[in-house]
Amino acid sequence: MTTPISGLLGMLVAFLVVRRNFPGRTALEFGSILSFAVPGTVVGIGYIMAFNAPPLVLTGTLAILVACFVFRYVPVGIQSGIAVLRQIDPAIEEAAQNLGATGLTTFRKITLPLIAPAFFSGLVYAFVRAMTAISAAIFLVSANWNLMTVQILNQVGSGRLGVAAAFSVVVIAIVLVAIVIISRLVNRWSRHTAMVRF
Amino acid sequence: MTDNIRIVGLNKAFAGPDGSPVAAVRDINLEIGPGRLVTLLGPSGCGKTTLLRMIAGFEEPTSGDIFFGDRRMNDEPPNRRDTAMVFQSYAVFPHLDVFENVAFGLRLRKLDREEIERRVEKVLEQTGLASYARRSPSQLSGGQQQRVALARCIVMEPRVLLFDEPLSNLDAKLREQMRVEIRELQQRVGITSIYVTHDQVEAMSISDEIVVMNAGVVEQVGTPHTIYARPSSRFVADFIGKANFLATTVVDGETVEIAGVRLPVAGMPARRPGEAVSAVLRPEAIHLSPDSGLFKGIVRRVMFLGNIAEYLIEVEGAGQWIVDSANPAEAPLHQLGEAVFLTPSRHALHLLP
Repeated sequence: MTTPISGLLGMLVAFLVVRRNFPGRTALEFGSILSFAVPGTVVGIGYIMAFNAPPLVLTGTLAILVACFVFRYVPVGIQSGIAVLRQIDPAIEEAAQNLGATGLTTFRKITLPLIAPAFFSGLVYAFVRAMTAISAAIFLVSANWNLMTVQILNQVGSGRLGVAAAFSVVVIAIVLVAIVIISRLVNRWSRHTAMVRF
Repeated sequence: MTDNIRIVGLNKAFAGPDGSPVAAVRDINLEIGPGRLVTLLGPSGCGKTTLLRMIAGFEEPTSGDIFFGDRRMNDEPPNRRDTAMVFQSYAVFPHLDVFENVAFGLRLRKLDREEIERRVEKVLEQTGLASYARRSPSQLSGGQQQRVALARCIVMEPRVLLFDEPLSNLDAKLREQMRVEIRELQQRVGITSIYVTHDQVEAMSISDEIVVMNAGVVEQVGTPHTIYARPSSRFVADFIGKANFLATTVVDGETVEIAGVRLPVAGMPARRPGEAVSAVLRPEAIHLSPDSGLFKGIVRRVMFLGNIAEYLIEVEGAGQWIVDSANPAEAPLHQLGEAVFLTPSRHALHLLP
């Protein structure tokens, strides 16, 4: 859930930062790194305080977990996206527009396939960190929406080391499987767009 | 299908480093006839690429209008202008093969499969790329990549073809070959074309008309022949080929005097006798002889270039002249310090306004 959102958002922000010129461009780039720089516990408490009162009451829901992870790990996607985009000749995108592609089509058919490697690393990073995160998340979990990492900590705290170890193995397995699946998906998808079917 | 292009009072200013506007293009007025190939020629930074990018729609003019036929194009985004541009850096899509690169624009137009295949194959045939259709661009040489870029534009049958220094990344031999190909292809398809270059030989060899630009303004518009033989300013004369600038004095309606020697001038503008005028004399329009001629001089530099020998000659009372002498391999070269006589060809002198 977190993975595709932060992956796509990261690429979009990177695209905006590198290719478009608008007021507050540098502020956006800087702001996007901020949540990465702040310690996780602080972020967690911040989310609780912000979303505990109307208009947005999200404490104890799945949404707050997803939101927290997205904003916390999107900077990685942004930064790798920026690095790759700066390497791509802007003339390639101009050529696409010149041949009749709208801005969105250009992004979809030309830019995205070219930055797929960065997109992939953004995805994997977001996923791995979201699976193994604990510092910010520990304040945001609830009985309904718990996290495996928090569960592991709880088990260790109660002296049930065996259960904790079992959970850990499960986490590792999920992460590994997911990485393989994501890389397969990204691969097939960039090969598919390489054929360009409209 | 193809259109004339009209540019009226076009200006473009960029924000300078201190925030104040810097004019890149100033008050350009141009009319380009349908099916013509016009070159924008000038040194780097003269605004020629900015002008081209405004025509393509990648830059917005600060003021002024651009018309294709009767349609004002200022507010049309680049993807709706029906122009096709060949970029200096080729800008082929690296993740698509040659066929898909060329088909890209047609697929966006949602043409049916057979028509796309037919048109792409025809253009690949025309550009000599038929056997490379399934290659990826990274397997092609620079010249082939630029052909892909060209094919990708021509297949669209656009209203206007734009070239942004398309050959400057190629080596000299290939450049010559490609400019012949571009010219032939342009004439065959008959699409109005604008070609940006800083290479005067390239401009002369492919254009119907040349627009010489300097510091954001148009210096002169004319056929290659006019621009070369009748430059309207010192800048144009100097930029197009080599030129000697001579200080002359007007004698009468068709004669000027240089260092005591009277020379005829064809189509001389109205001047008062005794007036000082600057004149252009091309290096190849001067005949060198070891024993007789109108001017006397001493050879100061000799360069053998194969097809010509270029001399720098200190002419008595008239400064230093560059002289090109054709077919130098035939006879022995004049030596450094040798005394020679110079005779300009009849009516070779052109007075600057």
